[in-house]
Amino acid sequence: MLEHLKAGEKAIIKDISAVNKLVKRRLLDFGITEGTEICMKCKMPFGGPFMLECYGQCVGIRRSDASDIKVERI
Amino acid sequence: MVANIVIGGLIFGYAGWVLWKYIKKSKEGKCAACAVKKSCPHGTGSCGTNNGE
Amino acid sequence: MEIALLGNPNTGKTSLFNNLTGSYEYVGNWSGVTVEKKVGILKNSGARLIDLPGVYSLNPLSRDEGVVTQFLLTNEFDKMVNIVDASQLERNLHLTLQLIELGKPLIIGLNMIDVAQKRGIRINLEKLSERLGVSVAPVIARSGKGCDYLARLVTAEEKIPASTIPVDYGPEIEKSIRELEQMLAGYGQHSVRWLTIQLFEGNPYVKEHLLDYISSDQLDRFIEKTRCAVSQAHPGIKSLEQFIFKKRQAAIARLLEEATEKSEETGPPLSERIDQIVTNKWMGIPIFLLFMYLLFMLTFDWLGFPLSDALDAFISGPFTSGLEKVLIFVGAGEFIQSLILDGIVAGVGGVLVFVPQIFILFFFISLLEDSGYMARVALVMDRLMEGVGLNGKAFIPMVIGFGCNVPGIMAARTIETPRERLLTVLLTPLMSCSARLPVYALFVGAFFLHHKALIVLSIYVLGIVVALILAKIFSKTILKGETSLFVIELPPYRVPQLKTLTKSTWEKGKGFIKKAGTFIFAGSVFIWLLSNAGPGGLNVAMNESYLAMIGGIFAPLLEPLGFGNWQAGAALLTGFLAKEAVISTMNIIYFVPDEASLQGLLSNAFTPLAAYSFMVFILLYIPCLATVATIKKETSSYKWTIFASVYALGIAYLLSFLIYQGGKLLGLG
Repeated sequence: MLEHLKAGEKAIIKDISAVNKLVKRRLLDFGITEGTEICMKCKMPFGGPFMLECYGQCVGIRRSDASDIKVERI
Repeated sequence: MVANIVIGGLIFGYAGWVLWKYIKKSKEGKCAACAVKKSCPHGTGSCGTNNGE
Repeated sequence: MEIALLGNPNTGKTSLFNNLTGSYEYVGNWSGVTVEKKVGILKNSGARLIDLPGVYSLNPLSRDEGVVTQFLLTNEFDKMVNIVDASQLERNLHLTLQLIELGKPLIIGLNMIDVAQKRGIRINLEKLSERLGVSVAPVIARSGKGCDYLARLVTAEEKIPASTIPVDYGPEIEKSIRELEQMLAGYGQHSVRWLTIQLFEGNPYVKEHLLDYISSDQLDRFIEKTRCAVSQAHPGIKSLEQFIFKKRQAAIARLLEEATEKSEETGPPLSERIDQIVTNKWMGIPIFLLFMYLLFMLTFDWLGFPLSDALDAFISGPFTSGLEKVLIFVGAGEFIQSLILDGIVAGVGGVLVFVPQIFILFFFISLLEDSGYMARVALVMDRLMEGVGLNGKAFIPMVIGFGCNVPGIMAARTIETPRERLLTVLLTPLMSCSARLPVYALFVGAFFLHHKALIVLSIYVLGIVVALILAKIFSKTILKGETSLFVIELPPYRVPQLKTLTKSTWEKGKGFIKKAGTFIFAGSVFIWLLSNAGPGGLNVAMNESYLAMIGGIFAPLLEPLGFGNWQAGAALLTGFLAKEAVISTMNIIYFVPDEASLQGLLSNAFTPLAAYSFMVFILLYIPCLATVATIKKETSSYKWTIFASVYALGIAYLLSFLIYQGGKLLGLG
């Protein structure tokens, strides 16, 4: 699960089918889908959003959405 | 006396014109500031007020 | 000739637009600065260039993105310019491929090549151009380098060939394209290939468009049939949307393999190092608050206040006495002298003295917009906003609302879900706009001399807190709904250029000065007239004037709030038209030429507690006329427009009442 990554860890997305449809569309717009390599940049406190990096761009997503994304650490 | 009439006329004329224009423009909101207002049927489509949500 | 400017968000379309047309439109460093189309005339050639909001794909999620699809479907245009961010080539090309499918002549402006090079990406322009079948011009939109070449390319008389088919979607989809072509026999508006692909991707605008020609049932059956065929041929494919995306992605990957070279990155970008600090786990919110604190101290205390005082001294001193001499010299009578000196100079001058403070505020807002910090603020604030039923993106319209509520409300277009968007539109007017600033500045100067910035900060914070509480209440009652969505792109930081900053500060502040010369001028004349004329004729005592009568109607209502005099009533009434008018009205009513003596008079009419109550009332009581009109346009609903005005009045009354009566109980009165 993406939410278990620590700041600075990298992973490859395995499955995003469980994610909310609109969020999935937006992530797809950023080029984030199955097979994309992402890096966890930062986690906001008190259950706040995550900051991810992929292909050199930074994207913010919510923790609840991140918990629906299956990833594999590398 | 002439100065009074000229200055007074100028001030009140300008003020009336500006006020009329301002109220008209404010009522229209952003459409007044929109560059394509002539070709934009008000409230439909191109200013984004009508979409398929 | 009409040329449409398209591209991903935050790739520099509007910068390029400004460079090519010599006009100035709002630019910034976050996704969603432009939320509606803007038209400009190209320098030299006279062609019309149309700047559109940024989109990732032609299948829209939010209202600003819908503007683009709607434009492509319904407007006539001759050519398209696609601005492509070289450092995010892969993502940007998804849009490019869709535009090529549209079948209109296209030219690519490749921006941010320098950023790409820093990331170790080298792009072979000829190869890219050849593979896409589209001319590619390198540009640096921020500085304007390469823009002339692009402009020449675009306006060149020769017809740019509509390029070849860029993506092969496989036999099933290609068959469906031919089928739709047959179904649409005789239709000659848009490329059927483009329509089919967009339809399969679930584009609601395209579906709506096709419903004019094909029945809904037939269309649904057609989509379902294709979906079955595709999922049979490709097991593992769940939707047409996904299939099309994969096909496009594969095409882009092949293209990039040929047209780009990758080498090692040159160290971690500066942007990441800054991010480690400002979006730091624990420091994010404190840093934002510190930034706001600095803003307020500079605006109201350290810098803005002395500047305003100096300007005030000039206007009330040498300027007024000079003008008086001129008027006497030309032989103006007492009536005209009074009109100009007690009406216009008091009214307009009273507003103009706050220009320095307003410019400082705008400078900081521009800094926030241009640096790339705006999107970070949204990220940092998301947790808080989620708690009240909004998302972090709603904070951006609110920050812009500090400048002026009208663009703030329009910025809410980038919010994807209709519920959150409406909520943001309703609450943005609670953000204290720059037109309300003079009122605070005047009152803190008169009553809270030693805590100027702090008192004003408390008013601003009160606006935010009230907005958050109301967001919670509204989303629990009248605007219920589960959906809350937050995905945001965080642009790389850029060192703001002084030129851009001054330009954007000036463009925002210009409106304020212009308004002083037009509306405030006219308003002052009429308020002066109303304050001098009464049932007893002209030149009556102020207390027997029409203005006193009108203001007097409201006075009893305002009594429990601590400012039950006709002067406050009249000022609040004019404030609905424009908030600055409150100051002009007071200046004229209290019959004083300058800020300092007004403050002296005010301290007789108000107690400090009543003054604070008045400031809170001004903050909340009603959105100005222009804002109300914008709410109407953006919500397309009278119900919500009336609601936005009425609830604000209710909240303002309640809070001022609590503050004044509560304060009196505590012995502060």
